[in-house]
Amino acid sequence: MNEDSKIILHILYENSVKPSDFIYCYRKNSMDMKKTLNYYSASVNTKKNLFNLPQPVPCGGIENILKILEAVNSDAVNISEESYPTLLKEIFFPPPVLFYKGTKILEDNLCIAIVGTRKSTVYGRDAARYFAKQLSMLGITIVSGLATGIDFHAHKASINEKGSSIGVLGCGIDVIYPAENKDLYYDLSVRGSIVTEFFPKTPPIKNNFPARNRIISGLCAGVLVIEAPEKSGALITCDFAVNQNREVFAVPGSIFSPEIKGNHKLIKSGAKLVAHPDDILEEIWSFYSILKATANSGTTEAAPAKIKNCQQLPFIQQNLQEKPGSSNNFLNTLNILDKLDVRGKAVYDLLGCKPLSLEEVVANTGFNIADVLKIISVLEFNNLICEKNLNQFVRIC
Amino acid sequence: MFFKLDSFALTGIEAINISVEVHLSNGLPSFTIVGLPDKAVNESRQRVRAAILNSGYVFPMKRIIINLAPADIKKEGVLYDLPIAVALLIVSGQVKNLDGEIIRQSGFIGELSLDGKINPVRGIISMAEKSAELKKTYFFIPEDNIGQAIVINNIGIVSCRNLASVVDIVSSNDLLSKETIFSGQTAYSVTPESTDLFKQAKNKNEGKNNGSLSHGDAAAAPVDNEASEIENDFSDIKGQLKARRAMEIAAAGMHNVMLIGPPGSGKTMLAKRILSIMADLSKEESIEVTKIYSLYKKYSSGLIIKRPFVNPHNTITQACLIGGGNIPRPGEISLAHRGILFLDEFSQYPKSHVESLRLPLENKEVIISRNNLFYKFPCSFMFIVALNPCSCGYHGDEKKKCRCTDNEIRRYWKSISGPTIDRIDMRINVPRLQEDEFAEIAIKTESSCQIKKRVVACHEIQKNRFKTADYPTERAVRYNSEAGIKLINQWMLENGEIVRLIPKIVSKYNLSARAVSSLIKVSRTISDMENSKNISTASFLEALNYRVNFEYE
Repeated sequence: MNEDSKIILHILYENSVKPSDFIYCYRKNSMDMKKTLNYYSASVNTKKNLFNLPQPVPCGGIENILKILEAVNSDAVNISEESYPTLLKEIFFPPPVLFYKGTKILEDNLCIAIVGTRKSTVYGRDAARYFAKQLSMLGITIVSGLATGIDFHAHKASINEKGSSIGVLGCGIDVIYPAENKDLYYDLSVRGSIVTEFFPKTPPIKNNFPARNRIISGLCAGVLVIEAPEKSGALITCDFAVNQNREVFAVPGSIFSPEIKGNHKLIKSGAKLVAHPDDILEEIWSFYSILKATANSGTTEAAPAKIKNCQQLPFIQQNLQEKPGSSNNFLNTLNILDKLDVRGKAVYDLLGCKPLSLEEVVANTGFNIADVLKIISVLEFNNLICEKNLNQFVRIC
Repeated sequence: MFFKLDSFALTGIEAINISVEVHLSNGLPSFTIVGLPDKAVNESRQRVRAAILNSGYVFPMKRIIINLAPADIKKEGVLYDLPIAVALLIVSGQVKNLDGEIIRQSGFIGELSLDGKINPVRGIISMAEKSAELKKTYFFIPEDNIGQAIVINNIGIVSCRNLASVVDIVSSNDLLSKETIFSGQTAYSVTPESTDLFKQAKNKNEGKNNGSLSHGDAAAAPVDNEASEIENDFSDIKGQLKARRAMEIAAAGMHNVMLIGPPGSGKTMLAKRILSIMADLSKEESIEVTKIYSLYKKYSSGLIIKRPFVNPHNTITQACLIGGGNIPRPGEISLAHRGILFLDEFSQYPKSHVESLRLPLENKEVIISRNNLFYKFPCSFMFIVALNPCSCGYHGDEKKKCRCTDNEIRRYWKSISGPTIDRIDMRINVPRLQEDEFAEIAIKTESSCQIKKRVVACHEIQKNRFKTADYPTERAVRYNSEAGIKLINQWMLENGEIVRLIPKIVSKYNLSARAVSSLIKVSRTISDMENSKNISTASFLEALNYRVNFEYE
């Protein structure tokens, strides 16, 4: 944390300046942090609180904040810094200081938010995992709210992939909420990132969450809604996304299930229906390239409109090349396949994308069940197949 | 005037020696029993009086005091009618030519009917064993109890029809000659030849089909002939190849099984059929089981040959499940000793019940303490539970959609005791049948008797292995599932490939130490079924199927 951040924290916390006022002032001073800070240090005594706000959080003094941040191994970044997320700087009201744990947030990678209800169904869970995994494999960072349900699955699926994941909290950085996500919290702080605008020790109260949602959408190029009932926090995130000029994507579902009504509402009002990760890539590529172009102000790179074949996207190609496992994985698979005996190969060849039950495998190969189970174990252990449904297997590699 | 007889009391399934002491004195006629008798013992005064009179003897009109020593143990039941009556007759001088030697070397047990007939009592097998242990020569028991008592070696069982016949026997030296006098009525044998009589008892059992417990045939009979008699046969089950295979392995090694599947997929059907592929009880096991069952009067005659299958409803009380009561009785888990405890709809059982199963599952016995006494009930059972994967029942099903939210599923599994589940070696998914499986053309299924042959052979292999084990604790092991950590390590180290595989598998599937030992135990059983000396890698890989697929996609 640099000195500026400390001063900002002091201004916000000790003098109870509203963060939105601070941002307003910062922008009025043409994004010059020195000027802003000078303004506040000069007027801090004269500027009286109009609304006599209560002390925002019970963390007891700026010194204490720094101590807590150190204790939970986290840090803060302010809006004037280079490493502050570029996209977030541009929203209507960005947080002046962003607390974070895990350095993924500083990399300024391309982000997609995956949001949805806490009461997710199996369909929602599968969809969240699918999209999180596919997008992460391309090196995209998945942003979500570290809640239960869709958020949990999106984080969980992405954290094992290259793109990793960012969780945005609606409470202080040292508060783990909900408690059942403890493991995920620690995973994210090591392999991804956890961010929040709230001071340490802020409890997860209701009003914090819509505010958090604007950061989720603000960090990202687009918001993917997996599963949202008619009244859902995910829809608030989408509202923010629209206001912040972000893309909104929605996964379709059954017209009869109430958990997905919000998605259909979104699609009706113009959100893009997403049935494949390519649908997302098509849209955000243009967004991303324009962004890059404006960021590197000198180079006026022409943004290609829409590219059908996503494999040609430069950043994806780049990521594919960088990805250490990707090419090796393929070789690994070949190696394992070479080592398999005739029976193993026969079972492997039989399995495809359509889930096959053990009974069908037995009927088609003519092996006895004990042998089939052994082969299945070997294949599953080597990540060639996985279990889908009960006792049904599909090939994954 | 004083006289003393030996009798027995039950503490749990163990018997202890009780002296029935009689003292006759002059004074106002009265009849008192002391030594903590319960209501049934106290009422024996009326039965004894009537039985003595109706057998043609005279009831002594004196001041009678009966003491049941040791006097600080509660006496229950109707066991002491016969010893009290005999002691009274002896002390009042109504037994001519009394043979003191026989009396000293004998124990007496029996409930008297008012006409002098002797009715059967509970727990005869434990008491017969105890009297053999005390080096008694004769044990006088009710005629109807002969089927159970006769399997105990080194004790002469005298089965008595009525009070008069007991008096006749104790009034003479020549006990053996009495056999001819009461021809047919007295099955007297000084040294029962064990196997023959065990077979006799078995044959006797065949005649008296006793509910679910002893239907079917003796193990000696050829297995094939049994096929048609089995009501629940494995050939009834269509599809479910994995579950079938798993049940066979479970039966072969007595592994605990958890069946997870949507409603109507056949979990209960599978569980009910496991009995049909398991070997009958061996002699020792049969005695152990009968000891427990004979605490209930319903099973007072005959040995139990078939393995018990206990299937309590989930509204059962804890005392009834584990054992307990004012005077402790074995619970359902002890009634499932050497057999199967099947908890259907496992998720519906109260959590406290399930948690209380943890120790019995580990220790294979329940100890209940009451009034300075410890009641030990063995409960070495095979534990089968069946449950749905979630509260709507269709989680993971291919066609029918699960209506549960993530939270509901998590809550559902949270309500099921983790440590108890961890003690279950095999977890098997039982999916619903697919359309074509109802017709079942492609795959031929085996009948129970074919599977049973393999299971019995596997039991035999295990018995031989544990007989020659190095440590006495290991020699007590009967099945692979009971193996301790020493054996498991030994098995594991026999195959270097498995040692190399284990770290990888543990990290991929996130297994606990107990899960790994379960894996090894199950793979040991599979190897036994293939008759291989060491655990084969293939069997280890197969065992992996019955362990890890817990949180399916």
